[in-house]
Amino acid sequence: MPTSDTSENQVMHIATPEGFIANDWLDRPRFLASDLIQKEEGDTQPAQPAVPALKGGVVECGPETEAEELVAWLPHITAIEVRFPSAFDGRGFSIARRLRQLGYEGEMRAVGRLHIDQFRHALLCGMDGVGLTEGLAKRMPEKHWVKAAKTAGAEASYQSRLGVRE
Amino acid sequence: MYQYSEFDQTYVRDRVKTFRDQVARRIDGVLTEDEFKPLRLQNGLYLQLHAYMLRIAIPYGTLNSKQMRQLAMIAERWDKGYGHFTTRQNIQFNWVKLKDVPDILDALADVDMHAIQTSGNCIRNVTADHFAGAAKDEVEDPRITAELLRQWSTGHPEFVYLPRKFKIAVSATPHDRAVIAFHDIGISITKNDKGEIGYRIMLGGGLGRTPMIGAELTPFLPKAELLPYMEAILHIYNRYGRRDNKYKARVKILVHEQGIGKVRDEIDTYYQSIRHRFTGLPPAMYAAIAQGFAPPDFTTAPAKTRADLAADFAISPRMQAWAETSLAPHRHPNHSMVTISLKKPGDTPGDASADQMRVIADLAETYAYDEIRISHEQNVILPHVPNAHIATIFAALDQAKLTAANIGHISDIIACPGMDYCSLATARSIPVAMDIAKKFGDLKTERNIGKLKIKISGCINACGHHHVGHIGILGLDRAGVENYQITLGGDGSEEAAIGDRTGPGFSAEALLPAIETILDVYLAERHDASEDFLACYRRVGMVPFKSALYPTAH
Repeated sequence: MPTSDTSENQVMHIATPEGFIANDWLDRPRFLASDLIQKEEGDTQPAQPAVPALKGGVVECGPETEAEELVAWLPHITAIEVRFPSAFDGRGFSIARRLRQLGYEGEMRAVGRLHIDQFRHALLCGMDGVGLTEGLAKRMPEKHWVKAAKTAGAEASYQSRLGVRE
Repeated sequence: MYQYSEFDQTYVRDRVKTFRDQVARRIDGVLTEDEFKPLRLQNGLYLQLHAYMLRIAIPYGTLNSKQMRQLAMIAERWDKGYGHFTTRQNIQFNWVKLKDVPDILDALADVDMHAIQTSGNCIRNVTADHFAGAAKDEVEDPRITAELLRQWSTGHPEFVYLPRKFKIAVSATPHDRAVIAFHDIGISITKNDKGEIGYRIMLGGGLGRTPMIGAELTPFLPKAELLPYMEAILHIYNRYGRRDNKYKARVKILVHEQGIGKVRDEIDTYYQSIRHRFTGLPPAMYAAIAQGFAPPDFTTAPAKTRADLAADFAISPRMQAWAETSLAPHRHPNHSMVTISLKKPGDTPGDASADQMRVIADLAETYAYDEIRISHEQNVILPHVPNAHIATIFAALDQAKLTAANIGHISDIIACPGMDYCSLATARSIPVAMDIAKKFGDLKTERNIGKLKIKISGCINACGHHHVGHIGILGLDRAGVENYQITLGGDGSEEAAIGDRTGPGFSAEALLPAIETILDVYLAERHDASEDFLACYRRVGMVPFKSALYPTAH
């Protein structure tokens, strides 16, 4: 079952490079990545995507999601939330980057307690935005996020100079 | 040496600006202490027992005189007039104030230095052989690879919140001076049978609570494949390294629990799938880095070989005693490598005063091609010294009390800061090192004992590398009383070994007599003076030491 947030933890805003937007995914149907790729007992073939059901839905990836197993679904998914259990758990950065490498082209957001100084990492790993609770949005005002995104965009990274493609 | 490119300079200045901003936001309450902590750690700032400690990166231990003088300035202006060189070739200042840190970082940026990623759960400062560029038998200068890895790992967006810290060391000689077998990744630069240069890579070595020798991940990786392969290693570690227990979060535990075969398969699968994404290192970028490590022109030095130094020694026997331990053969016959001991008996191992730093800087600039190195053994090295200047350099070092003639001997001790500084420590380590050095550090005793590496850690985290000491000492807390465990036979070289415990530990008072007993057994058991402590221990084993240390148990 998708995670049900208490109101205090509910993601109300999305920080994007252009500024805050209201979280417009709250009412969409939700799917856990682990449910999608779960195999029935005795299955030898990978599960096949139930494409129509995914339409308009949001797929939630946890820190242990095996991104590789989602490959068959990726062309049919348009919205992914990558969950960070804490701001110190960087698995979500690897998962996001992996999903992009595997060809995911839809929208992708980081959800958890990421803060401004992790915005750059999230964006460079392929995220389009970072989810914020009401409390966090108040404590870390929009202007800080926009500034951080500008810095991230302006800053050529060591990695790109060395031939590492994001 | 490598000069910062415009990009490096801009990057480091931007990071200082960002950190200044983060400090301001912390003070305003925009950031909580929990959120601020990883940010300050990634800028080298720890909260220690008495104050903030700032750890400054000295990539692959290389400095020039201007940088050394700046460290001296920082020591005087913002600390107590000295700095502490660490086992990872860095320098720490133990008494800085939070509000001064952005200014210190700016002063570092003025001389192309920084404190980025010297702590936190990220890829740390990359270390290398301290004799790089001067050693006779090196395949190529390992600092080219270390600098490439410094650039690649700096601010890597995917790898700044790893399960735990991650340390990389590079060596390019058959004899390993960089302790690569005990790093998360150890890289040995080597040639294959076609004469091509590549990398032997070891994964999952480490000291700490669970000492492990790294396992060979690949015997030969072509040079061009380094970055995609490193990306693969770190990606697999970031996804699958344990996060439930910080003491089991290093990559060595992943390798230990899953087996090197399985970890290698995972890394290879990922690596194969991302290789095509690499446009390859631009040749001009590589050339610019390599150019930064081109050796100076050694042919201009006066003709004077090691053998010719005999005339200088005839005048000064003290200089001869110093030269026996401090000079090492250079690749060019008219030069030597000079190791300056920061282990004068009675002083804190690894500490240097601002004045001493300036003396070293002046000597490097005037006589030694402006190159300085810091070794993981917490000493300072002038890697390229014309033999014609050895006597002058000895005299200047002697005035600055920098001529302890003990390199590689019993009083050349590695010790962590211990309970005098560190909030994690469970016992004192610096005073123990001082006591040992005072008791056995006179020239005659020390030379009689011969080559011996003693390493002391003040807690189980093993910052003093006691597991790889020929004699290792681990200070613990037993019901409020310091207790010291001893290990024998550890070795951080290419013949990597973890020391064996002698048995129950010793009280602070009984420790020195126990060390004396160990030395007596060695002196009695050795064939002759040419068999050093480690060789003797390997031959006779633990039994004679044990029976002498614990007579009533037998």
